[in-house]
Amino acid sequence: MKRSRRPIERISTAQLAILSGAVGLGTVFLPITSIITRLAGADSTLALLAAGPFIAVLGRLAHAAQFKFPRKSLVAQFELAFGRIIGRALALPLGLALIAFAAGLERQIADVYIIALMPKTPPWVFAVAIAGLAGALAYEGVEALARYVTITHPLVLAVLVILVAAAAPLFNWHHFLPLFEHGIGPAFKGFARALPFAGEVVLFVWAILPNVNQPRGGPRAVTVGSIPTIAILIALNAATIGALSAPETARLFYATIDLAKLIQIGDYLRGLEAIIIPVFTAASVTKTAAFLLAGSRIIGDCFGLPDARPTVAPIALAATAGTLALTKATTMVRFIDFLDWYFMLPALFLPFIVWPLALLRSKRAARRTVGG
Amino acid sequence: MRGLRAVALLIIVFTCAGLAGCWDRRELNNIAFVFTMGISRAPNGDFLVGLQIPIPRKLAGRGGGGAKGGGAEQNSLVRTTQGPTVDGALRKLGAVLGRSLSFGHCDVIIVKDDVAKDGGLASLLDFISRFWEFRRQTIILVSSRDPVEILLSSPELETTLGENLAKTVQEAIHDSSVCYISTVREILERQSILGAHVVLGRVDLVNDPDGNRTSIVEGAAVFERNRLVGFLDGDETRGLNIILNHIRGSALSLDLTAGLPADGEAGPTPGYHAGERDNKSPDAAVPRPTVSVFITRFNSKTAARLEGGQPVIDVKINVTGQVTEASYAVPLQSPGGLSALNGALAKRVEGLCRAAIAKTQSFPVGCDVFFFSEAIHDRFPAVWAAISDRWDEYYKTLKVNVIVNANIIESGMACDPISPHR
Repeated sequence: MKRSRRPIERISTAQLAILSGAVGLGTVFLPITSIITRLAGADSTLALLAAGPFIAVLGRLAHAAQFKFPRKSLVAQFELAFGRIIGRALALPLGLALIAFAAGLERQIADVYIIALMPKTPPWVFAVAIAGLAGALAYEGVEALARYVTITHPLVLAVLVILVAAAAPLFNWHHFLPLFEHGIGPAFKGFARALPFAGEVVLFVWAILPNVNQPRGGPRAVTVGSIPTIAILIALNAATIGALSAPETARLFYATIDLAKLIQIGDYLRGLEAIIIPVFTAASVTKTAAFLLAGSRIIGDCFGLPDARPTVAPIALAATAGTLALTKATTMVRFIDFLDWYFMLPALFLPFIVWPLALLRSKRAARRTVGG
Repeated sequence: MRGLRAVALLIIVFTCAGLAGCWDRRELNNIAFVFTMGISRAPNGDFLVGLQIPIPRKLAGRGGGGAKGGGAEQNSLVRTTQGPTVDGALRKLGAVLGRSLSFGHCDVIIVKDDVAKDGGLASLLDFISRFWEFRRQTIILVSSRDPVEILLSSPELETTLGENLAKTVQEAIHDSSVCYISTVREILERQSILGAHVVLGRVDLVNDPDGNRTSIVEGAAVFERNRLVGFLDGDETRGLNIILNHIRGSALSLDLTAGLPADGEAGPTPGYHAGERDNKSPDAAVPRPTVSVFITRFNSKTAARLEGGQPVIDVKINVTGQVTEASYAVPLQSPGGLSALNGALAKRVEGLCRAAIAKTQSFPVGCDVFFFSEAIHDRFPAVWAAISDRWDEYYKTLKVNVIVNANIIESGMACDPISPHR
């Protein structure tokens, strides 16, 4: 039986909840402590505390309108809102951005492997390895990805909870004080920096919502699934600052692994980086695969290809080639920043533009049909 | 379909092999584990790095914990190298040893005071915090001796010097608290806090009765911007540990030569116990009435407040202890006697803390090693902003109140001291 003849993949709302949480966590937990602390200093935990509910409410509002378009893909909704040609032209950069982000993530993961574990291995080994795993997972489709995260995401969360709990005795609460020493500016910068991460999740969820078997339950599932992710991100950020101090966290390339290396339980259990790296790999593969899948789907739809699978393989190869090019570049961080600000942050607010427009236009079209 | 699955399987197998780092393998017999590192200055200004590396073959054959397992059989070797940077020096050593160095088990780094005085500590800390193999639990100690001399000393009970020093420091904190545990984490944390100064523990060598030279950890070295400015002796270090709440347990001896104070009065001025290497006693040959108290619980809280617009620090210490030895007829069963003994203990603890504070205020540059700056910064950010630029000078005249509440709750297995004529 050919793959193209398979029935449309369906995932449950529970799987959507886990998937959205896993994509939110993904590799976000790796750099977030350093990136946001660099901007917000000791107030970064407060910035995240503010960003979490804001994102949850925004996501809930945005996705509440989605059930008006059951089974309609992101590109189809863009077409409804802006017309066929312009809609596809506007949707295409989002798909490309997701693929570029997947490539950037592969590079970042390779960096972590090299810096934290195996410095003599060339970075392309890790980049290709992650690309291969993520590509294979994305090729298998949404169902396979959902089943994969059903196993891995609870493990990732559990390990991070253990990490935070084990770091608790190292906390120095003075590292969080005084609050808002330099006014609200730094905290606001940290808050703003957290929003593109939420934009990534919105974009991904938007792309796979047509696969949810009960679209009406989608918004609630995304909210519920995001709560543990947001909670653990805030706790991890607080743990890193509490144990290492804000200036030290901001100085580090990958503060989470430094936190893990710091932990000592008794005389013999020293450092938890050994259990961090496997879940880091699992979470990275999830996020890279999710972006590859969602990006391929958007690009495929833009070019009239109904099945995402034929597009995944060439796009994954192209993304890998891009990653390999990035491994030689030194401007990766700026590249990711560019994507964050110009594609992922707008993605958080895009539903508020696309869905009302699509609703208006579809109602007008219906009225014309009835009237005609 | 089958072909596709086979290809997918192959991809997964190869990628998993890649993630496991097959290219980067380090065979056990190609690694030289560094247990202790010593850093000093060469005459030309380079870093002189000494490493103590255990010899696995000899470690394996040392049997079940022989007393001379460490030094007598020379189960470790010491090698030195030099270079303009610490890393540069270490890279040269790989060519000499024929093995790659591994620092994951490096428990202790000994820095000679000349490196500490010329700001070389910054270079070392930067190297350690960048290099993924080092752990932030690694202890850094300062010594006035050549670190290689210490590396060559023979630990009596432990296998290696690093293990011996790490255990000595831990035990010293539990028993007497006369040394300071300065881990990489703590040093970097201190450097990130405005106004706080770095403190490192001190290590030295002593001659054993059997002729061996053994390392001893006592006292601390205080730094200002990575430059050594002065030392704290054992008692001052104990005061530092009390204020910072680092004490796990400590035996304090109360000299009661002047007798117990009356109930409710301040106790006699605390003296020094002969066991604490006292040379301040006017007549050390005459045994003095002493009570030894083991502190089971210390709790210290530092708070800032304003007095006439100026910040003042209050250090409140709660001490709980038990009498472990008494050469003085302490009326432990009378409330008045116990209360007076509590007063003597409080005075002793206060004296230790005051000595530590006074010493750090007397350095050429005021060195706040107690995180008082943090207390002011947290509570009064505006006041801190006004004094932060001149904090080191300000600290020299900072008013610090030490309030000790002592509570002796146990007297061990006996109530009263032994009295031959009872």
